[in-house]
Amino acid sequence: MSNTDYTLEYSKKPLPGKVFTIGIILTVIGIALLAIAYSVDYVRASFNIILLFSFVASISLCSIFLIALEYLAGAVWSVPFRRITEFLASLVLILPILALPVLLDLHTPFHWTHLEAIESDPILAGKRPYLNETFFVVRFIVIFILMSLFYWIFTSRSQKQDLSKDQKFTTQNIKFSAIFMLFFAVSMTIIALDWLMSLEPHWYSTIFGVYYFSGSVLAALAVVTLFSVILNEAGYLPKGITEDHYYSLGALMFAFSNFWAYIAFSQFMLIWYANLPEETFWYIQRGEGSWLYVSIGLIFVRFIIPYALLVSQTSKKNPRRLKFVSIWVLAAHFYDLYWLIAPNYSKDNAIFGWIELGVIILATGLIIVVFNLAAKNRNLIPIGDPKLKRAMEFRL
Amino acid sequence: MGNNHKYEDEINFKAVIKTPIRWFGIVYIFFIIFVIIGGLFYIDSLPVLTANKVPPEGKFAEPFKDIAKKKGIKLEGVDVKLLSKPNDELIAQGKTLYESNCASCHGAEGKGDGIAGAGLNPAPRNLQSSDGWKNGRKISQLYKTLEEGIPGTAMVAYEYLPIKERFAIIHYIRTFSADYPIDTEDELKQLDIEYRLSEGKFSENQIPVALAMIKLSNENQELNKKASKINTFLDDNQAVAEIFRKIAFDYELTYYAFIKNSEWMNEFSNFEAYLNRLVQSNAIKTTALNLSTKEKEQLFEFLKSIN
Amino acid sequence: MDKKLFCLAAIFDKVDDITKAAKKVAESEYKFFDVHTPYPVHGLSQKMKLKPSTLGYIALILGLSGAALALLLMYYTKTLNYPQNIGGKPTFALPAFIPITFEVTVLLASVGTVLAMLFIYFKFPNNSHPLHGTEYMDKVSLDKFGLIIEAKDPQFDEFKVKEFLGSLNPEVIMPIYYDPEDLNFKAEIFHPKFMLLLGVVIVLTAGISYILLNKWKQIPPRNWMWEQPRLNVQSSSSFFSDGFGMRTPVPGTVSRGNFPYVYSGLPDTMAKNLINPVLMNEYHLKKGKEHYNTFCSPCHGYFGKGDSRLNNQFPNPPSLHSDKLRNWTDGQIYHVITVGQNIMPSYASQLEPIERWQIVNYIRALQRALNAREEDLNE
Repeated sequence: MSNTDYTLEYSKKPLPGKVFTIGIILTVIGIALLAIAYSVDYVRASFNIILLFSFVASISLCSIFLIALEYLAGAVWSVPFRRITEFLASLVLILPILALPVLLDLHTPFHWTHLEAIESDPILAGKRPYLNETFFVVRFIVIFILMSLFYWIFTSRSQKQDLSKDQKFTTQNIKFSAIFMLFFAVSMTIIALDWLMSLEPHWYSTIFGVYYFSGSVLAALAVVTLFSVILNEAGYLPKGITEDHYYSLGALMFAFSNFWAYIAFSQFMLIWYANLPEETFWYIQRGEGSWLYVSIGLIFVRFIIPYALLVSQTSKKNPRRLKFVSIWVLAAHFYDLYWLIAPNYSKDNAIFGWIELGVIILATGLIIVVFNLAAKNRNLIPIGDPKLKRAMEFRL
Repeated sequence: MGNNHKYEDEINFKAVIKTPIRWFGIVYIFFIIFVIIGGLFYIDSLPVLTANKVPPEGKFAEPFKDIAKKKGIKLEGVDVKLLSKPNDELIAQGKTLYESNCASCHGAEGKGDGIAGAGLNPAPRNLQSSDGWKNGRKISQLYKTLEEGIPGTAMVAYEYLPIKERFAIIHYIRTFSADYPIDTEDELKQLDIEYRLSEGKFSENQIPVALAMIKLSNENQELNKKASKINTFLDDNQAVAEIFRKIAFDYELTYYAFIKNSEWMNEFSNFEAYLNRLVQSNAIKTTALNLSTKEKEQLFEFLKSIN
Repeated sequence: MDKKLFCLAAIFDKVDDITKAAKKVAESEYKFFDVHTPYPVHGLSQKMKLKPSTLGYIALILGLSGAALALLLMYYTKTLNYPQNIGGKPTFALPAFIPITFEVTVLLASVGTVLAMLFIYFKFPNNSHPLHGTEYMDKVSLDKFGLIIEAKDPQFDEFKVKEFLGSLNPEVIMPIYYDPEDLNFKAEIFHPKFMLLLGVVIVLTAGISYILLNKWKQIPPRNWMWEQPRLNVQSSSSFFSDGFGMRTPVPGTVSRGNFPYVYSGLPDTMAKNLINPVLMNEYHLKKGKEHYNTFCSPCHGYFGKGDSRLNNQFPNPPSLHSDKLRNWTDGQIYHVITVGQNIMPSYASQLEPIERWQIVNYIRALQRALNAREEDLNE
């Protein structure tokens, strides 16, 4: 059982200010690039904002998911990394800022907002009750409020526990986690359908929500792993985090990259086999011109290479390898989202330029800045958690 | 710290009987083995197991027994004059022959009311009446009927019966009615001359059918061999291979139909006519009629070149 | 009675203790030692300095063979042996094959690995081990960790080993002996009780299979599928006005690719110009014989002499050996088979054109047999 008397040898070290400065610089460069992009190529810039939004949303929402998962599953090994996950989850608070440019002008990226097109299109007219501007915004606001609420519930209790070391906060959080899971499943599906699938409103895939979720969890895991390994190596985490913890992180990443391949293949095979024109055109679009190579590359970047990198036991215990795979998986998630979004503004051939690069820079900067802000005045480890002692002694 | 635990036998029968799970575990392995072996045996001998068990009966059960090899022999000529005179022996022989060969249609008493003849058109002749005979009722005329049959009716030729037996049948038929006309000497002589009855004939040589099949296929060996080469020919000419794919039921048979006959070779118009004949014979598909002239020419040139 | 020592065993309480102990034993001079834990302890095999397990390679090889086998099977059945067009997909439809390939890969790898483990490492069917059923085994299967040093080790000395194990600070040290019964045990495969059991098993399985296959199926409702209200071939039916259960195709029906037969009347029509495409070889003659014996021989007799098994029940058919028939062309014989003659019905609905031509060829063989040439006899 829990040991409330257990005290860890941990003294809070502030994160180096240099990193924060770098984060600020990256953010400013990113914002500048996207601002220029809006004046140069308005359409492409608005799609890239969606790319940025879906990337940050997947990391933030799935970080909350990982927190809830830990409470629900009673996981022990992941307790030392829960605070890092919580800091990353605070990205959820900046989601409205990222969504604002899109919400102000839904007309450019979303075809279903074109009233004149709907009139001559019975399919879009049929989807009108769901796909309309008001409901879109309402959905986003409700999801944002719900997710922020749960973020606040989880983190505030976790913070209070640092001081009181009371087990009741854990018990409460487990109950809230169960409720959260229901809302999360719906929210994640709605975000995937609204922001990604409705870019091509004629197309539909019932598995798409799970597709976005599988990739998102992978991305969130990758950031958590990356930050945990870096912070541990730099000595910000207390001693006792061993390769057994690393192995668990790596194994979970390995599992979810297989899960992504499973879902992605299921989606492809069913559409390929049924061969219905209203479904296949989405894949045909991604098989034209240089998109074909991007599509084939996705299989390698997203599944085969991470699989090969993570399959052996030693590679999951190797911090260098883990850092590399985390960055790779993050890049692959960006690649995946780019593959989902970009064919809508560049139909014939894949284009990758400074605007897309700006999105990467801005996303990186935002993650660093938000993480630093969240970590300020807070412990990097949930020192009051009743499971912490067992977590530090965790052996495979 | 004692170690007095008894190790189990390979099978502890008491424990096995007490615990059904273990019993099942042991039995199951043998069950599977039995099912596999039995299943393999069953599948292997399926034709035997499912064969018809009821033996055929009666004369329908007559099995196929091949003919023995037999050289043709000189058959003695017959004396027409002698045979044209009925006697008891001939009539008795004729009765048996009539019953086995004719009664089914003409009826036991020759009234033309045999069961098998009920549905025939024209109906079997009433041998007791004198009306409507096509060839006539004299011995020579009856003999002509038996030798040649009556075309267009169910009355077939019985030329395979020995001459004497045919005369016996005729004499038996003539007992049905008293008013059968008598042949003149000339008519009998004419009969003798026409069918060379007194000369005698050679009977035909006989060989087993199996041997005949081998003989025939050996005689056709060259054509058969040539026909079997069609696939190698087609490999070199993809355009014609495509045409063959369209029109042929079977490449070998199609090619054979072309090489067994060379009358189409000299002219293209003959070739086209030959193609039509092949279609009517169902030797090739009807798609051959839809071939364009160019395709036909291609095929023509190809077949000529490899012939 | 003297007991034969199998090993000395030490029991530990904590996973860290066993890891340390394993490391020390591995560094000592003893080679025949083993460690038992109630759950897989990661990293223990490295501490024990074991060679990497070959089981992974066995699984890899079996998994790859499973994938290859599944793909080959599907390639052979769907592309080579029986290609079918399914929804316009290619005959080798890889995406559709992936799930099956995956399943077979996993199946073969897992089952094969378990079997390899049983046969190679546990030496199945040997199921006896001195450690089985001991107190030691009971403990390490629950919550303790155990380490043994076997007596067959060349460096083994009971006193020294005890001392060495004591230096590892275990909870208990215990000797484990061979079971004398186990040492003297001889497997009796022909034990009468075992043979009796086998007999019972065979009788039971045979009986059950017999009942299942023959009786069980005929008990309602199992027999419903057998006893459908359907018409068997050659049976009569009151449904159709002519009373026949078997229906002929609609007049004028032509099978795909076949030209409808155009000639009628006597065989002296243009039909004599038809061309027989069937090779005069043993294969086709054999086929012709089969069809002839089935369809023609009831009336014409096995040799076409007209002396058939149905003699006296039908009007006698003509002999096939008359001069007239011998001089007919193949087309004329084909014509008679196709449209019939006098009371002979048409066989067009029962025989494919190619089969009719095969019969024509066989009739030629019959004619040759009963009208052989001189040289045919010289053999």
